[in-house]
Amino acid sequence: MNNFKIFISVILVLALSKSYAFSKDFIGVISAGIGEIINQDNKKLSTGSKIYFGDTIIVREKSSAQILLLDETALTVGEKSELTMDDFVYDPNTKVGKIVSNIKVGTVRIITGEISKQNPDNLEVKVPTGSVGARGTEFAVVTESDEKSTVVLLGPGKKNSLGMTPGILTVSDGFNSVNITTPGFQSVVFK
Amino acid sequence: MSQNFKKLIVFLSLSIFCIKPSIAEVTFLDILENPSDLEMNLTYAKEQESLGRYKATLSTLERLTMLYPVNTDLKLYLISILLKLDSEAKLQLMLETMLQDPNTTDETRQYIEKILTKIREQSETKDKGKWFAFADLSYMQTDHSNIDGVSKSGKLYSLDIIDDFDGMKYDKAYSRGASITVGKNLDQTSAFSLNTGFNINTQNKNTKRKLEGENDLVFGSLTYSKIFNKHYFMPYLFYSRPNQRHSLTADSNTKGVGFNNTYSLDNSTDITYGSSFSSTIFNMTGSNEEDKVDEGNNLTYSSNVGFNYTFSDINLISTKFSITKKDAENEYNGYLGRGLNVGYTRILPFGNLKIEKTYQRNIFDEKNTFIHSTIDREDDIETTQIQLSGRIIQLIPFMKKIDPEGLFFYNLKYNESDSESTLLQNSAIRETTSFNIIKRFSLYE
Repeated sequence: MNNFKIFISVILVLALSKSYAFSKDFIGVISAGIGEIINQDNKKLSTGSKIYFGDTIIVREKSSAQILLLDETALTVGEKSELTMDDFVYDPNTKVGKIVSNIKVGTVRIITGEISKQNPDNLEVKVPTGSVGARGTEFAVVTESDEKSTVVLLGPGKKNSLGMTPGILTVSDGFNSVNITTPGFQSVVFK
Repeated sequence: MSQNFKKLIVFLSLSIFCIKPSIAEVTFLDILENPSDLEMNLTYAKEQESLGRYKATLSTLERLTMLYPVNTDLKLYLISILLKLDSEAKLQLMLETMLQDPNTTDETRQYIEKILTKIREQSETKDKGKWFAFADLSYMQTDHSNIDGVSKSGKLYSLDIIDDFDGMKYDKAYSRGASITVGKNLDQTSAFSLNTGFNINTQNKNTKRKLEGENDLVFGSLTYSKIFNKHYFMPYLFYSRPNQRHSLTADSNTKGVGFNNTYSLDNSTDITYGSSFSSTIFNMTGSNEEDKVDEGNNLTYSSNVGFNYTFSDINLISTKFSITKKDAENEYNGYLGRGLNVGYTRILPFGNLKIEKTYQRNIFDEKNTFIHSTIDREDDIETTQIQLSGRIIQLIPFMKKIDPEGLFFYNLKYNESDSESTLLQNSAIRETTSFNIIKRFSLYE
């Protein structure tokens, strides 16, 4: 009987904790990993590898990756790119949280998730020359060097047939900021 | 108790395992655990689409196309979502990538070609016939160090005799203006715009009479622009009519035509060239009827050729050579001028800084015997200009709260002109410092 209770209790704990099976620092996964992808410890990452708070993701030449965060933000990382997840806090119940991602070099395309939907100010993408804030949108960041980054708004556009709010990007160089409201338009941020 | 407890525990356990599948077939947590499972992810994408969560559909399909690059059905599904999202730039990029992919079948290629053609047609019609309009209100204040152009020596020639040059040196001038611009994008490569407005130009009231430089200026221009391959063409017509306030100064009007074209050699190098012709005619309305005001009438021809080079994306070096021929009714007012301008522009966080130097040599057609009967007039003018322009929010970030679109513009300009002339009265140093602020109102776009 005691064994049965223990068995049932273990089952219950396991079942109840299914949704919370990830450690506190777990923030997402490499949802697609093509080629050579490593983290800051030089550990090889592949499709399904977990991403933790503070991780640096390095995507080598002729490689690409998609990172899926817990709030459903998706980052598609091109070859020769490096980014760090500087901050990630997310409450799946209220869908409130904060993301700070630091793109050091390379090309990253971002589809915003729940955190940005709840409060656009809570998604910040840092680049060496400034930062990008996004509302309900998809955008790409190309960081060529410490001196120059290009930010492109990809969508959705004003004429989308899905009733979605058109995307808006706020690009800042630390002194000034500009809004991009038309898909296909870009802003170049210099140091 | 123990039997009931067992039943309760077993029931709860089963419930916990069963509840989730009944809410949705595939959850986001399932995707996190199985991001590469084609069937599960495709089901998830479709479910999310039916729930109106298109971004989840988009990221899922993008992932699947990365993991299964030869699966054309996935790509076509992704294309259909991008079409609905109006993500034209991304769609075009993806379609063109698919066209280059050897795995794309002929049937799919034909389908893609059709979509690309449709996008291009839509894009052409989107910009075609699109009107735009905006209005500008401007205010400018200029400090003059030598508004009357008093000569360096303080002397002038008059009928061969050296006399004192009495004139005002320091003064302030003010200009308030309004203009409206209406235009239309004819297609993706061409547009025209019509600009018309007025300026009220006054000087400091340190004299009771109206000053010679004061006027109400009405102006207008019609501009057409066209991009053709590497060429940018911009022909224009212009008109201006100052209504002079000074009682002895006759009014005039100037009409002109010209073009400013640019040819791009590559991404960083441009050749610019332009030409203009203008005609200025004075009205016989000067109060001083003894003055033959039509003697001021002139025709002016001007041409220039220049070279621009951009480096590090934020620096521009430019140089321009110009030649001007002014044919005046009175030939002593006519001249042939040659000029060389070199400039450097840099984009700064708070605006665009431009530093220019211009050397101009004007050789006048005839002696003005009212001034001097034997000296031909030749002027060598060296001009230095430093200019900072941009949006007010670049200077004062908190202005963004009242000007979120950045439609307040500023321009700070310092100009020094040092003229050496064979005639005493035309050797002068003039300095001006001006501040200009413009508020733009977008009326239609």
